[in-house]
Amino acid sequence: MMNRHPLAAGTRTDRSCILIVDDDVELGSMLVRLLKLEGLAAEFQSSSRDALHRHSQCPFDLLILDVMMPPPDGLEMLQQVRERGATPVLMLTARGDEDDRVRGLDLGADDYLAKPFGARELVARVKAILRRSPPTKTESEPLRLGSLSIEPSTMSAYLDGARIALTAAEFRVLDVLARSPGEIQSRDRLCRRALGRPLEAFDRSIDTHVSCIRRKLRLAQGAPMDIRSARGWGYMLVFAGGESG
Amino acid sequence: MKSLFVQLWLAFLTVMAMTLGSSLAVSYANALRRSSDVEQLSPALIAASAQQTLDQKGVDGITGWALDELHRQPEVQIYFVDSSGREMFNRRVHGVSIPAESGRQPPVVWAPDGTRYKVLVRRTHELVFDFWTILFRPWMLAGLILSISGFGCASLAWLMSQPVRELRRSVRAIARGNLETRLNDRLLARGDELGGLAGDIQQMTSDLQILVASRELLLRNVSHELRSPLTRLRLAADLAGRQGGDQGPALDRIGREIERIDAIIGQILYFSRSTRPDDLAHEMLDLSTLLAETVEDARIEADKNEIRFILESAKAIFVNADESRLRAAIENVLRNGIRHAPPGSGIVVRSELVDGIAKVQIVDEGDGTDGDPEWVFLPFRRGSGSDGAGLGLAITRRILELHGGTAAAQNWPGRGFCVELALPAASWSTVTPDPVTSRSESAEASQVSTVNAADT
Repeated sequence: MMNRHPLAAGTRTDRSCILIVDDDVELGSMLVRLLKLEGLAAEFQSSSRDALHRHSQCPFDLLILDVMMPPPDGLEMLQQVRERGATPVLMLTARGDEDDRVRGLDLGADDYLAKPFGARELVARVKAILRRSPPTKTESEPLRLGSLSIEPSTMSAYLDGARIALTAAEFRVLDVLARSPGEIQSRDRLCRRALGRPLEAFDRSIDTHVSCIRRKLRLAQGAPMDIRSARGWGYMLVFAGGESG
Repeated sequence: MKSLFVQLWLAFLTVMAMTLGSSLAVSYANALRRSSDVEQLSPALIAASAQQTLDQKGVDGITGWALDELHRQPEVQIYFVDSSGREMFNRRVHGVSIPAESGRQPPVVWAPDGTRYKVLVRRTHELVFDFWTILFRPWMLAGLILSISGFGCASLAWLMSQPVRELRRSVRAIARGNLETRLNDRLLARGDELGGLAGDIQQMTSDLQILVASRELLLRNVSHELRSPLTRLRLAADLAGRQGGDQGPALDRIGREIERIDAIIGQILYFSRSTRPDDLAHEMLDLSTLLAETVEDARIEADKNEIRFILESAKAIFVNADESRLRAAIENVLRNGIRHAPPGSGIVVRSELVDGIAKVQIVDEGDGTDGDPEWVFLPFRRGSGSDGAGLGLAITRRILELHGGTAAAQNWPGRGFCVELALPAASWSTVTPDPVTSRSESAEASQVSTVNAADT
C-alpha cells in the first residue's frame, strides 16, 4: 500500500506533496525538515497568496495552514481551497481559540492541531490524514439506508437522490455511523475510524463533525433518521424507516 | 430601594405639610390672643368711644364704628338697647355679657335725639377661628391641600428624576459591557449638571471602548508572538531528540515546561476574553448532558492519574447558557479535581435541581485547602501541583457569575473538597419532566452510571 501511495519517499521527485503555509518562516523550514526525516516531501510558503497560486497550478496532496496569517488568513484560504476540491487540509490553530477550531472544521478542514505542538503529534496527524486519502476501496461497499445512500468510492452521500456536500472527515464519520445503525459508536472509536487517530482529552472535533452532518442532512429531533448522542459517550444513527423498509 | 423620585416627592410633601401646619398654628395663636384680649375689655371705655362717635357722626355713623369694632374683636358684639328694650339696629341680643367694672352701672350712651341706650357688650363666640368654621370638617381642607400638593410634588419630582433614570439605564447597559451604548441626545443637549454628567459618561465610554479594543489586540498579539517561538522551541527540542544521545530526559523536561508556559498563556487569554459579558450566547441546553460530555472528555486525562469519575446525574436540567463557556467552567473544576485527587481515588460529579436552581457538585478526595476554601477562586493563586496560571477556577467563577449563578467551594473534612456550581434553571425545566432531545438519552440519563472509558 505504501508503494501505491504517491507520497511514499522517492516516488515523486518532481514536486513536493505537502504544502505548509505559515507566516513564520523559521517554523516552516523546521516543519519541512521534520517531514523529510519522516520520509515525506514537503514545501513551504510564507505567503498565503503565493501558496494559493502554487496550489492552483499544481495541486498538493495535503495542505497545512496556519489560521493566523496576514490576509487571506488560514480560514479564508481553506474556503478557497474547498471551492476547488477536496484536498485534505490540516489547520494549525492557537490553543484556546476554540472558535477558530470549530470554524475551521465547519469550513471543511480535515483536522486541526493546536500550537505549540510536538513533532510526534504533527507527524501522527499528517500520516492519519494521508492514510485515509485517497479513499481506500477495500472495506466499504456502497450502502443504502432508506432515503440515504453512501458511495465510498467517490466519498459522496445522497439523501433522496440529492448529493450532500460533505467534507472528507464528515463523510467518514457518517459512513462509520451508517455501517451500524442503532448501535452506539464511542467517540474514541469514531475518532480512530473516521479521523485515523485516538481521541484526546477535551477534544471536540468529532462533536463538531457530527453537528455539521446533522445540519447538512437537515436532521431534526423526532425525524425518522437522526444522529443521537449518548451523553458524551458516543453517537448512533437512528433510522426508523430502514428497519421496516 | 428608595428611588430618587420617592425621595424628592416625600421631601416636597414634608415641606408642604410643615408650611400648612405652621400657618394653621399662627392663625390659631392669633385667635387665642384675641380671645384673651376680650377678657380685658372695658365696657365703659367702649361706651365712651361709642358716645364720641354718636356725638360726631350721629346714629348713622355708629354703624361703621360697630363694624370696625367687630373687625377688631370678632368674638365680641356690641348692642345698644333703649328703655323699651328695642335694639338700635333691631338685632336680637345674644351672647354672654362681659361684666362691667365692679361697682359701676352698665354704661349708657345718648343719641343726638336724646334717646338713652344701654350699651351691652356681649361675647357671642367662645373663639372665632374662621378657618375651621368655614370648612366645618378640618380633614376636608387638609385632604384637599394634601392631594393638590401631593400631585404637584409628584409631577415635579418625576420631572427632576427622569433624566437621572435615563442616565442610569444607559450606564447599566455600559456596565453590562455594551460599550456601543449611545446616551440620549436630549440628555446630552442639557445645559445643566446632568447634561455635563451625561457628556462625561459618554466620553468615558468611548475611551473605555478604545482601551478594551487595544487590550484585546495586545493580548492576541502577545499570545501569538509568544506562541510562535514556543512552537519552534518545541519542534527544535523534538528534532534534537531524534538525533539520539542521552539528552532524552532533559528534552522531555523542556517539552513539559513549554506545555506549562502554553497553558499559562492560554489561561490568561481565555480569562480576559471569556469573562467579558458581551457576546454571551444564550441557548437552551441540558446541564446533565453537558456534564456527562465534559466528564467523558476529561476521562483521558483522568485515566493517566488513575482517577475515575462517579457520575450521579439527575434527569435533564435545562438552563439558558453559553454552551462553550459553561463547558469550560465545568472543565476547569474537573481538571482541578484531577490534579489534586490522590491516584486511585474517585471524583463524584452530580447534578440536581433544587428550587429552580440547577446545581453541579464536584467532590474529589483530595486534601482540600488549608485555610478559606474561597481562596481557590482568586486569580493567580496557585495550589501545589498546579501547572497553570492559577486562573482555572477564577474563570469558572466569572463564567457562572455571567450566567447569574455562583461558584462556591467547601472543605469536607475527611471526605475531600467540594466545588458547587449553581445557576438559575430555565423556567420551564421545572414543569417539563424530561423533554426528549436528540442529544440526551433519557433512559440512561437518569441512571447512576460509572462509565468505563475502555473502547467497545
